[in-house]
Amino acid sequence: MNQRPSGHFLRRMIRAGRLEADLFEEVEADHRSIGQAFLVVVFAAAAGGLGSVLGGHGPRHVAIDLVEPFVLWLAGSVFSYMVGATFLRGPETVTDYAEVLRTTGFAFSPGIFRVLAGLPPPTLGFAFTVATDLWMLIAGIIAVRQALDFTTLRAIATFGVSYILLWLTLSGLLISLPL
Amino acid sequence: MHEVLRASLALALLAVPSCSDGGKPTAGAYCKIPEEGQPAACLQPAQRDYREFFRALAQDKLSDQAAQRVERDVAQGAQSDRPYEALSTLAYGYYRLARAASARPGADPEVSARLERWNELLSRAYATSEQDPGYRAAVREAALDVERRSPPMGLRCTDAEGNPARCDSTEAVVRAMDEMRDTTGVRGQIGRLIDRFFGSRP
Repeated sequence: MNQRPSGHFLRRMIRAGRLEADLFEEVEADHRSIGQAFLVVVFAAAAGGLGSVLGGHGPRHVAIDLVEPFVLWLAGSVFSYMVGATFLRGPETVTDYAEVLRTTGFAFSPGIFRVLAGLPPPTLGFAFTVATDLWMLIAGIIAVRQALDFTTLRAIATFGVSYILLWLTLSGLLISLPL
Repeated sequence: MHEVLRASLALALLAVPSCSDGGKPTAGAYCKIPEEGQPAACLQPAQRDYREFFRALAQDKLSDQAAQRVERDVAQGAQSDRPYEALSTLAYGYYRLARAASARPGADPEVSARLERWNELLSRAYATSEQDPGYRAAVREAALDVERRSPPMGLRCTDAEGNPARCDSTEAVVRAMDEMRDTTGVRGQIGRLIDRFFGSRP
């Protein structure tokens, strides 16, 4: 029986939220899922922005919440690919950038709960922010591990190094941009 | 390893900090400013700890001496022996002082100076409690609570560009707290790039 595309997409998001390694393997192999991965990041960004607005944050904070998922996804996956496919590659690592992009996009699925950051009282909203960030971090580690076909330890190391490289790149960009 | 990751996530989701909204006293939580005429059961531990402060507040005669202990404890932030009680007391005192001052004709420079000092204390408590996210969230909650509940006071503060301005209560404190979170790591760099592209800051 054919599934509706929206139902299929939703089911994939739920499976990503449940940290199912099989899901990340599935999207790694599915070349057409890049659009869905992009939509997941859009949803995570929108949820984060809405959560910030509901939490009474200023426009700068809201803008950061809207932009951050895209930067982390696009640039973070570039560095994850560069580091994971070269320095930290495992014996079974066979991948390309698009695979990493697809799997890490779905890792933003828990980001939909970023909207709960606006829940009163602020302490509760903050707790949801921390929990959702941690959830996405763990999903991201699993996504990188499945895309690069290596161990969880290598995935964690890839993530850490990628984060530092991303920070350095943004710092360089800030220095090079005209005032 | 996969199970370990799942378990750590489950634990993080369960570790939602407690908060109190005037109901039962809750240890390790900020006690919201009670509604007018409503009992504030969660303030009871604070009332026991800072008896002199609450007595002076009720008599509308809060002196520097009566406020000294509360101010010292808030200044110590999460390191204080009773961080949440001190925070709840300061927020409640802020609200009561602002309300009493706004009911009187003309400005009260003494009250304004005290509330400006308390704004600085809240900012400092937030800035120095980086290692305790729960307490940090409680300080932000207290500042937001005061901002929502207190009548306009016309206090000295700085605007988003850092220029001297007038603020109704803790709005500049809340803004500074949010900006502080947005100044570190990749998030901080993204914020600075946004500033650069939209010209909101140098």
